[in-house]
Amino acid sequence: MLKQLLEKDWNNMVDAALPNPDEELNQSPYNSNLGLSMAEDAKKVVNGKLDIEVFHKKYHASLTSEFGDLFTQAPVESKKENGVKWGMVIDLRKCVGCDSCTVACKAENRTPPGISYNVVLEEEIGEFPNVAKVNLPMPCMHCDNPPCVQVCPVRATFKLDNGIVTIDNDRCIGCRYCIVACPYGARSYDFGESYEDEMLGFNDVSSPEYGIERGERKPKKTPIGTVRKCNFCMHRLERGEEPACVETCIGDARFFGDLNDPNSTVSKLANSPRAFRLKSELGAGPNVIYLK
Amino acid sequence: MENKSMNRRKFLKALGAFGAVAAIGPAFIGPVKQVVNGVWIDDGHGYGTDFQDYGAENVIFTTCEQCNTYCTIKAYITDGNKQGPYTSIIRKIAGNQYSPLNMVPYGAIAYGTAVDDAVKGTGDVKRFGRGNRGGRICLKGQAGIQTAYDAYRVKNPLKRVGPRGSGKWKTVSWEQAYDEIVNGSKDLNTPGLKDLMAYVPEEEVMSDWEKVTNKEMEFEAFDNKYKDKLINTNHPDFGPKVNQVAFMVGDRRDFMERFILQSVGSKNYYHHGGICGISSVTGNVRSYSASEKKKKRQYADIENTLFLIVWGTNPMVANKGPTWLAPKLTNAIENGMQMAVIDPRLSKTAEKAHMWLPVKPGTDGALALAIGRTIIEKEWYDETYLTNPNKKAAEVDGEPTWSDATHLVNLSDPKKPKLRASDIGIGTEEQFVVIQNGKPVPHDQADTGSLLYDGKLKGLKVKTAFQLYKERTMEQTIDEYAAITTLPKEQIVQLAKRFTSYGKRAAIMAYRGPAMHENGYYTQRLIAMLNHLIGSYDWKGGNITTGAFYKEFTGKYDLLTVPNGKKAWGIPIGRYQSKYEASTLFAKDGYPAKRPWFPYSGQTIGDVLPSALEKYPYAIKALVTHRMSPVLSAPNGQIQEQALRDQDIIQLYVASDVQIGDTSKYADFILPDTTYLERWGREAIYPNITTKLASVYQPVTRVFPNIRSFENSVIEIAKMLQLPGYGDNAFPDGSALHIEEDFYIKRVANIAFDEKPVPNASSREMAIFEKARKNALGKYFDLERWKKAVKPDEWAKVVYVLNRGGRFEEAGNEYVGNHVKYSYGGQADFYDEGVAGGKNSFNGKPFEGIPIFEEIKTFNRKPINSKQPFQYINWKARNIGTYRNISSAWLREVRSDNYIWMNPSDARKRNIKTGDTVSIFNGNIELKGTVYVTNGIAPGVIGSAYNMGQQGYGVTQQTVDGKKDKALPTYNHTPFTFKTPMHEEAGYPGGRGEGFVVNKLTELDPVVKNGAIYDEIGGSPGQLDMFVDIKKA
Amino acid sequence: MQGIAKQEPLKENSKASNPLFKWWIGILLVLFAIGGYFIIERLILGLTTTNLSSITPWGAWIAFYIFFVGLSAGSFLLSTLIFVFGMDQYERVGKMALFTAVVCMIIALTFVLMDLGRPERFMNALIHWNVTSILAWEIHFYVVYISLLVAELYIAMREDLVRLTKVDSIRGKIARMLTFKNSTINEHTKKRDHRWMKILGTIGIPLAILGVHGGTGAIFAVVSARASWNTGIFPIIFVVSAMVSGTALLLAIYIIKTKVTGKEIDQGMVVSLAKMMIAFLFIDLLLQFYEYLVGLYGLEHSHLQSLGTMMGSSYSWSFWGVQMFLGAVVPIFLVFYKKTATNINALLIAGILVVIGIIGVRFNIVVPSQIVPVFEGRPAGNYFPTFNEWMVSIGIVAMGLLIFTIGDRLLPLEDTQHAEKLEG
Ligand SMILES: Nc1nc2c(c(=O)[nH]1)N[C@H]1C(S)=C(S)[C@@H](COP(=O)(O)OP(=O)(O)OC[C@H]3O[C@@H](n4cnc5c(=O)[nH]c(N)nc54)[C@H](O)[C@@H]3O)O[C@H]1N2
Ligand SMILES: Nc1nc2c(c(=O)[nH]1)N[C@H]1C(S)=C(S)[C@@H](COP(=O)(O)OP(=O)(O)OC[C@H]3O[C@@H](n4cnc5c(=O)[nH]c(N)nc54)[C@H](O)[C@@H]3O)O[C@H]1N2
Ligand code: SF4
Ligand code: SF4
Ligand code: SF4
Ligand code: SF4
Ligand code: SF4
Ligand SMILES: [Mo]
Repeated sequence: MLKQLLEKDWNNMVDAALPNPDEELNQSPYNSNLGLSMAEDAKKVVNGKLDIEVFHKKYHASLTSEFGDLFTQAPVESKKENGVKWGMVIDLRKCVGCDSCTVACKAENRTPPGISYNVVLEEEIGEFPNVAKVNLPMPCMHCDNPPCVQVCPVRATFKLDNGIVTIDNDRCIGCRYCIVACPYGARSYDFGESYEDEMLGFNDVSSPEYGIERGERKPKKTPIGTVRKCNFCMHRLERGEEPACVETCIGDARFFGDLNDPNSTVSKLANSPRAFRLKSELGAGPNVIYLK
Repeated sequence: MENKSMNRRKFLKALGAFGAVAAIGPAFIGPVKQVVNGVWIDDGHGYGTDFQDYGAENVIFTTCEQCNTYCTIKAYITDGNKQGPYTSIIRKIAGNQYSPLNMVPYGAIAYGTAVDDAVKGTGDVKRFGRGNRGGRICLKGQAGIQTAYDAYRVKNPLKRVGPRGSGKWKTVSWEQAYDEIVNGSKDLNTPGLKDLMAYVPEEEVMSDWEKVTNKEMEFEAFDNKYKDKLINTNHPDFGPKVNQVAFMVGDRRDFMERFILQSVGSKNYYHHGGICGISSVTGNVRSYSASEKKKKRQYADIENTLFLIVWGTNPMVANKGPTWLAPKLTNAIENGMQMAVIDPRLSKTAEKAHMWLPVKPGTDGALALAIGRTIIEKEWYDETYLTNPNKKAAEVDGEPTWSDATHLVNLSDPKKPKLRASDIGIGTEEQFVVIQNGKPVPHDQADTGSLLYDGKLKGLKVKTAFQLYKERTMEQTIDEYAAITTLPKEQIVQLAKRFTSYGKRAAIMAYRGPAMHENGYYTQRLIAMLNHLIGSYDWKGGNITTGAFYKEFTGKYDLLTVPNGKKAWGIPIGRYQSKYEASTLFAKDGYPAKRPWFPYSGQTIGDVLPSALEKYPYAIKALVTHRMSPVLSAPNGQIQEQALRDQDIIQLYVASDVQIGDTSKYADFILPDTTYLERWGREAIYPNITTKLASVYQPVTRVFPNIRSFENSVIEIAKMLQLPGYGDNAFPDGSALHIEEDFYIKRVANIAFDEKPVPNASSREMAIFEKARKNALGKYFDLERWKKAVKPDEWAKVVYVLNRGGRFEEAGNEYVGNHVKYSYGGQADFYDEGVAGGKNSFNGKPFEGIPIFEEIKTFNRKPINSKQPFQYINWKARNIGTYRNISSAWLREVRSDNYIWMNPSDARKRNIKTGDTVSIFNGNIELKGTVYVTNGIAPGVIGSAYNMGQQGYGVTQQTVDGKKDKALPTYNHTPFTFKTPMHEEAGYPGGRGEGFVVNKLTELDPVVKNGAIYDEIGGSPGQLDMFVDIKKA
Repeated sequence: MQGIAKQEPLKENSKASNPLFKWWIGILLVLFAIGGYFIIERLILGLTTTNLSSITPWGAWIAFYIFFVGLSAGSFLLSTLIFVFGMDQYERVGKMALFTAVVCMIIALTFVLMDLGRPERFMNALIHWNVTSILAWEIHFYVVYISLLVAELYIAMREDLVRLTKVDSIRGKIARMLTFKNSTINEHTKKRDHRWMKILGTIGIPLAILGVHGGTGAIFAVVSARASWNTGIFPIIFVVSAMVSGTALLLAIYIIKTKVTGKEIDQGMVVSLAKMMIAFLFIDLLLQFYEYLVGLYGLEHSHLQSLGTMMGSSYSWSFWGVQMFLGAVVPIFLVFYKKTATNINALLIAGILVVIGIIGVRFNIVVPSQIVPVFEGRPAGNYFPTFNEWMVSIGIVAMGLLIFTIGDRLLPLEDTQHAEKLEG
């Protein structure tokens, strides 16, 4: 019979395999004690035993002397501002109404027939020959005070810290109250339809919406029977890609980024005098901002 | 069982909860927590950490062919569940980040970027909004996935059962298909290609024929010698019998041209150019000379242009291509560029314009003359530019190009050629003449010339080209022109003023709108001449002629020369590049010819089948179509069909197609081609970007097992016919052509080694290359075989290029000083002496060297006098590329009908509302459509997108091996449509067959049997000259 | 007491053998079976069996749901007139009103269940509670409300149940099961029961008005995305129209039931119930008038559009025909026209028409404002229930009627003392 390995045996093995940390650190041109104690304190910060600001104060001087110019301290921010708040800006002067966003979204999110997370509305103004056309692309606005979230009886839809209004399709009961309540018509119900009959392999892959891989699309399988909408391509954001509609926008009309970062492209555009929000009187606080 | 108990446990738990909740009433914990933590935020559910991330081994860069723009793309590939017939699933298509085409305005990533890094992204989404993991492509490109995975594709070689077009087929093996195509089919009663291959070189025949005409040889002897080789020994100029095998080709033209012109030796080679923009191309090519580089199109250096006229083209949607033209335009406008759009309807481009000129269709020539007249009268033209008679003189002024404005035209010669120095004894035949200081000087000796001159030299009546042009513009007053065009005079004058107010930073871009008319060539010339007036060619911010391409067919391998190849000759049945007067038919028939001849046009696909019906000038025996559908895209599909249906007219019809289409449904054999996502290929963008590039196609998936690229079929058939250029020793260097890779990978080697060769792919990149293709293609990836296509030392560079989807010059080198680097550098022509010397084949009246505005005319040179009150124009659907994207449900969701645009004033008179079904008729045919009433179109004009009304692609159910295809799926579980024109956002795709085939409305020429009206110079059919009436159905 | 014991088996027999009753049960069973088939179809195929869409996500089932909630609240409120406000003239219908209220809630919630995309997850609605969601509050209110109704009903029946325990029949058995050991009846218990009835009824009034029905109205009223719902008096209209329909239903049930069982009809009560119904109807119409007037006056685009859809489109037959003509004009005429004012049959028709009219009201609330695009430029909706939706609805209603009929058979819902007197 094999010897039963005990915890200490594993530890010994690992210790033998790893280089001696002290030796390694001594070879570094930098003060490794500083690093070690910072690491210790950082753990405390993470555990909530030490205030981040205290941490910064404690080490600021030593870090500056140690690294000089290389060390730049991020401005101390309050916890809330620290996180990212995703937002989109759509420049209507540049939007050419091509619907590339719409189809890119379909391809990326593999939405079924009857569900389009993004649409482009067309409206004509004026009389020949003084005519203008408005092309209005509309994804979900990821509202600050989302009416859809407000009404959902089961908290299946809610806001994530990053500003994305998510839908927990495993919790959603399919009451469709949120569809009724969304002032922007951004939500759709998944009736279970599919393109498979004319598009081989459609059911094979589905998009990992909100980071949940659901695999093959099958009758009655979630998200069928629940409500769906634009998710700001959260899975793409997490892998370092802007949303599909933004990536492909032929008019270079869609911009994306962190609204909490005052230096981001979207923040700057959102502060432009041309900026406005759809149906702002409703107070939903859309995070899709339009430029006139 | 386990599941059940689980469910029961869950259920009991839930029941318990129910009880608890009911008992204690409101469960306070949740709500209290919510109120404390913030009402909108929640956590602990609803999200995960699986983001389907991908790496370089899941990505292949290739080329899009959803429309004829050919953008560079990136395909992200996943496994799928492998239950299906496919090797992999294309998860998502995006633009290629290495390519400048897809990265406007941010710029492509550096070509040297490691593929791993490129695929992982080099950007910053949070701050800058772009991760650079993919670039832009249009909606059609996004939907390419649905072209490849379409369930209705042709999956096996098909042989017709029953009469043509009956929709009944049987599956045959590839070998049988080839065999019956080559050797004939007994049961179908089709001849074999092998019996139609008779060829004889031109020189031999013609020198004998000369003997016959000189009575040095008996006709009898000539006839005996050639009756098995020539179509008609009475008309040897028709060429060899093999010319009776006609080819219509949509793409991969280099490979096909090589096959048709050099291996088969048939002169009847047609590509879609003849119905695409041929009069525009002819008009352009003939407006620029004295450069090695042909200038075929009008494009602008958009980034730096201050005033842009977009003339009858729609770069935000169509043209080539919106992927980069649209973002360039929107950004240029943002940066202050002014744009005027000349289009009878408010196109997506016109929507963004500062000036919209809804010109009456087909009167663009008059508009151009009005603008020209204004500019000349006010002397707003660039005099310095125009007075430079040659390159040297131009260079002194810092002008890369010059014009023939000062060159003299010899009006005493009935052919009205340009005056040559030799004509007046001051130089050679190569020298033109200009007036400098009142004296005639050979044009290349003068440093300036008089713009205006009207006089006599040595008894010859001469005028400068500019003088002639000026006189032409003065033939009518601005008011008269304005009345013709229906545009306000003030608007025209203002346009002229602004166009000439920005120096060299102004340009016109034009394409199909003004050109695809019966008067298209003249019109395009007149437009080009406006560009001449400011001479912004090759200037930064001006009119560009780039199109620099890495060498692809020469270099390491000469790919386009067939050793011991043939040289196709004779009069093509479409009579392109053929002078009627020079033909033996003229001697027999005289004027008028039975059908128009096209001495200047390079392509005339539209009249091939109608001519075949009339056996004019001769009959054809076999037809091969390859990604072309004349029934849909050429004029009067109903007539095209007549020819296809009739086995007496076309004895053998072989179609290469991915679908049973409206044309290929008449085929005797359908050879199922690979889609662009499954194959190699070669097509590239138009010359409208300022850096050098070379794009590549390569397979990224394989959907059905028993399909073959048409190239592979061609290779097999050519081998069976023992044609030169295939098998071993297929290329001049002795290398072989057994599979398509032998051709296309060599091409990549040429690209890789052009100029300074690209680096070798690192071992990591080699590994990526193999892994990605194994993932994507499974057993269809044969590394060793691919490698064999090139020499071992070339492979690593080939991989380097393939891994990046092509070769792209880095930005930053576009300009040399104030000029574009890849320039035209030639002469801008006011006068087209070639055309001036030609005659129309109806009555032999000469054409005009200085273009003219003429009303739309029929072959007998009489203005069309249609009884129908409306002019019908058409354009490219925003969401469908030519006729070949209809299988995409995603695109049909955007719109599935070609609504007929109609001005409210016209609609009111006919009591028509948006959404009404109408009948539309032109006196020959009546069709049904749906109306969209809009102020975006001029009164008296109606029109629609042309790309709808497909009956193929599964719309008409086909029977294969006795089994009827499944009917196409319908969507939307409710009986309601939820769509009125322009409000189709419910997300349900319409049917593939919705809308109607616009080309059926093409005006028939009463003088030409079964013929459309044609631009005899440019060669285009009057696709935009339709005349209809409309009434509520 | 003996008399009852003797009488009961007789009664049972006569009831069971009543051919009309057999037909009634038979038809209900058949309808329920047919409906059941379509319910199963709907459960298997999902909501593709309906004509609902993402543009018009709510349809017939939601209309029926609010209709039955309304009926329930209406019946309950009527019962409070008796038990809380001591309007004894209506006592005859008191317990029936309570029972009707319960059954209506069962029907209403079954409609909701049918309408859920994920009916198997209905418990989520109780487990996860979103404080900002009116619907979430409603669901909890419904639970409390139903508990309250059951409790009240129980107390109201207790005396009769205790009496019934001695009877040797199914009713007796059930009565024995339901009474447990709680079988004393005396003045004290009577008083206690009475007090409890009053207490529960009093709690129930705000619960029914605010919680159940006003709340159900609020589900719509709070939706600022739909202008025509988004008004303050919307929930009040809900309550008032609940009273209208509740009264009408009880009126109809009472008349039908008494007719079927061949008992004598309390004409005075019927006439006064009918008058009360019309009184409520007037208030309802008044409120609606102001609602539309304010809506029109606001000139708010989408509000106008949904009013337009309701009153002047292909949907307007439901408004003018059902809601206004059948549901208001005709009944008002019947109740006030001298010749029909005291005619039981006419009043029965009036009651039924009012009920139908309120169904129309419910459809007109739910559907038209979802036909108008929620955002201008989006496609307009379209909706008419599918066959499946109708059949499921019929099945559910049949189920409710079955429950009602069986309950009525098995539980002492009628005022037995009265019955004794009349028969004795
Ligand atoms: N979405 C989409 N894109 C495409 C294609 C497609 O099918 N769909 N096809 C590709 C191909 S093959 C090509 S060749 C290019 C073509 O690209 P474009 O030349 O841009 O395309 P068109 O839409 O044919 O024509 C342009 C415009 O001409 C206008 N027009 C019609 N008649 C007249 C006239 O008499 N005078 C003037 N001034 N204008 C007129 C039409 O209204 C239209 O807006 O597009 C390519 N891109
Ligand atoms: N009235 C009017 N007519 C027009 C135009 C217009 O604007 N107005 N536009 C013109 C222009 S610009 C052009 S370029 C032409 C285009 O005309 P075409 O070249 O004829 O049209 P496509 O739709 O590109 O392709 C034709 C057929 O090729 C087949 N096919 C599709 N994919 C493949 C493939 O991968 N392999 C093979 N072997 N076959 C395939 C399908 O059956 C398809 O219908 O139409 C012209 N006709
Ligand atoms: S747009 Fe609609 S779905 Fe999106 S967050 Fe706002 S209310 Fe919710
Ligand atoms: S449908 Fe789902 S997400 Fe929408 S409100 Fe109902 S439970 Fe919430
Ligand atoms: S952000 Fe993503 S999900 Fe939302 S519309 Fe754009 S592509 Fe679709
Ligand atoms: S892709 Fe961009 S330009 Fe095109 S419709 Fe969408 S937002 Fe507008
Ligand atoms: S423009 Fe044409 S080639 Fe380019 S992505 Fe779109 S469909 Fe493909
Ligand atoms: Mo084209």
